Amino acid sequence: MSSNKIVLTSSDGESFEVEEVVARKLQIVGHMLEDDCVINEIPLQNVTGDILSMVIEYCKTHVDEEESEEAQTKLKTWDEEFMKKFDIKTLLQIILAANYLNVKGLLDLVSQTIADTIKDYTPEQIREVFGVENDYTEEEEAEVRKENAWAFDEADTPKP
Amino acid sequence: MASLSLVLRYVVVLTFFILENPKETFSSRLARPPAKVAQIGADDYPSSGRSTPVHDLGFPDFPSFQEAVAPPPPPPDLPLLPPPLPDLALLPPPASSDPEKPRLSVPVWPSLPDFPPFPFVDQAAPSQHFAPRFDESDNWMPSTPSIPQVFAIQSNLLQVLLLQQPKLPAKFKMKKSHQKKLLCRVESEVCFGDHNEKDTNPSEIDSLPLDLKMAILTRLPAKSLTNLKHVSKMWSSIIRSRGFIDYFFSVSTEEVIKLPVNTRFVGYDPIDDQHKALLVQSINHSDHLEHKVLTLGGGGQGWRHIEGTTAPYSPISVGVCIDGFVYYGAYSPNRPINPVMVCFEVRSEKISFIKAPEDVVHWGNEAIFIEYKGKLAFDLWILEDVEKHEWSKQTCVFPSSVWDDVGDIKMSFPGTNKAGIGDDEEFRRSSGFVDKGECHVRIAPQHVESIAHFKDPII
Repeated sequence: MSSNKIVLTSSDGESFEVEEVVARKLQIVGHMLEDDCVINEIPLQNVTGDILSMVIEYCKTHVDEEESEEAQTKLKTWDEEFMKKFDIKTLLQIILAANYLNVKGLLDLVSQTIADTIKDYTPEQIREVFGVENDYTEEEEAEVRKENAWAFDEADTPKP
Repeated sequence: MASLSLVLRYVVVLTFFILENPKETFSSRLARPPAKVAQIGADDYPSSGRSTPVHDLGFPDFPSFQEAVAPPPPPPDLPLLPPPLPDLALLPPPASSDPEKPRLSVPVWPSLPDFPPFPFVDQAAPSQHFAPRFDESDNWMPSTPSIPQVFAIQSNLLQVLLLQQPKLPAKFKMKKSHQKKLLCRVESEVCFGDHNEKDTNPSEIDSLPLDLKMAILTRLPAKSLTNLKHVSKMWSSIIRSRGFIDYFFSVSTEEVIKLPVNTRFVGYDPIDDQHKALLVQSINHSDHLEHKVLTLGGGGQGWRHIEGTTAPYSPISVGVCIDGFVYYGAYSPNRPINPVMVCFEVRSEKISFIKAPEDVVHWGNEAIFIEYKGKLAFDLWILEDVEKHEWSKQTCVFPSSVWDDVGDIKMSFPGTNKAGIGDDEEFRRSSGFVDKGECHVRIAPQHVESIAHFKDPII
């Protein structure tokens, strides 16, 4: 029963054959299966093959979440190593995928990783990395700066 | 032939998406109320997880956090698209459909749930040009359908479904990109407009759905947030918005306090701005009870006895704190009769009793008391008048999140505060309460900044 295989197809046509128990980690798939949609192949429109493969890798690793502390620590270490592989742009793709596919653990993990990555960015770096346009006028910027004066007193300049 | 079967599969999947929403919505264990959909405006597209209309403001409005979601519970979430009606297949094919494309009969869901009437039915046609709330930016996962016909079929299906919306102005015509967005909404439930029309690259953070932005930004330390206000007006508006502030502080000022296992009652006194825990235990295993109080953050005063005794009673439910009173169910110890609600006034630390209907305490620890319009409610029972001990019965539907699994055990202590933060799956997740096994999360109503969490309260 649990060895049932399910084929997940990405938007760019890449197919992944995974065990049902792994596929169920994607809640979007889980819901389908619960609804007795007898589907062996599930097209996932909103995710590309390279991102889907990473999500599947995560799900495979997290498929038996044991409660023991040792297992948890091991998983945590794996998560950290796993996240180190990706640059910020990939992380943003993964968070969208995790959201769409509804993989809760991964969503948490990626949110936290992105937050950790950008927490020491300067506003300029943020704009650069995320392609955000600075729409403040000089006066407005000065106002925000004034408002935040206490914060800047505390920590002279933001860390690079 | 192979491509046709693929196409059919897509249609099945799409139909599933459309039906998935109502199914989830109605999975509550409780009785469904008569449909309360009349007040939904024609341009308040029903959206999941929100009971309030999404306004098309210049920047995000955080409807899911700003509005108190205290009961009455939101009207049942409605599917974005109307559920397929049985005669769907009989509808004429969409007028705008390309005659060259294959016309498929639309599959009819075998067992149609009993849906509430479609909200648009009684609505006058919107006087303004219908404008979907979504902006032009491609706010969804990058996707290039590899088989163009498949997308065409999806469009057809959407058009068929849209045709069921009566009285739509004739000029209502959706562009393809909007259809994509609609589809996206059905699927991911979180894509709403971000008003960043320039961004079309989905790898940019400004194109993330608001939920995801919040998920990231609430994980940042306060210092970074101050800094990030400089990034752009939009970032600043997110960080400054009340919804964000409430959410941020509620997450980051959490306290985890271990309390004795029989400390079931935690209350908040809005006047002195204090949280107090109430411990009820029997003296020498007799029917007599002693009550002890601990002021949280009370400078190490420790547990204090409440002077005076009450009639013996057996507390049988978890409590809820409303307006400075903690309420919990109880009955007389020897025979399970005389059901009462025990009222503990947090400020004065006095205990009194209110007569309660038998049903109220019948379920013991299974009973969940919530604040309902500022009053106490138990599933169906509402304590209308504290003085006269009057109860009324009403049918409530709770959001299904109330019944979320915590690990393997289904248990939950719902509550909402003024910021609309409830103990739901998302809240527990963002607060780090994802441990397996028993997990108690208490939310003190009406006090956002120092929400107290109690995790594994077993010493």
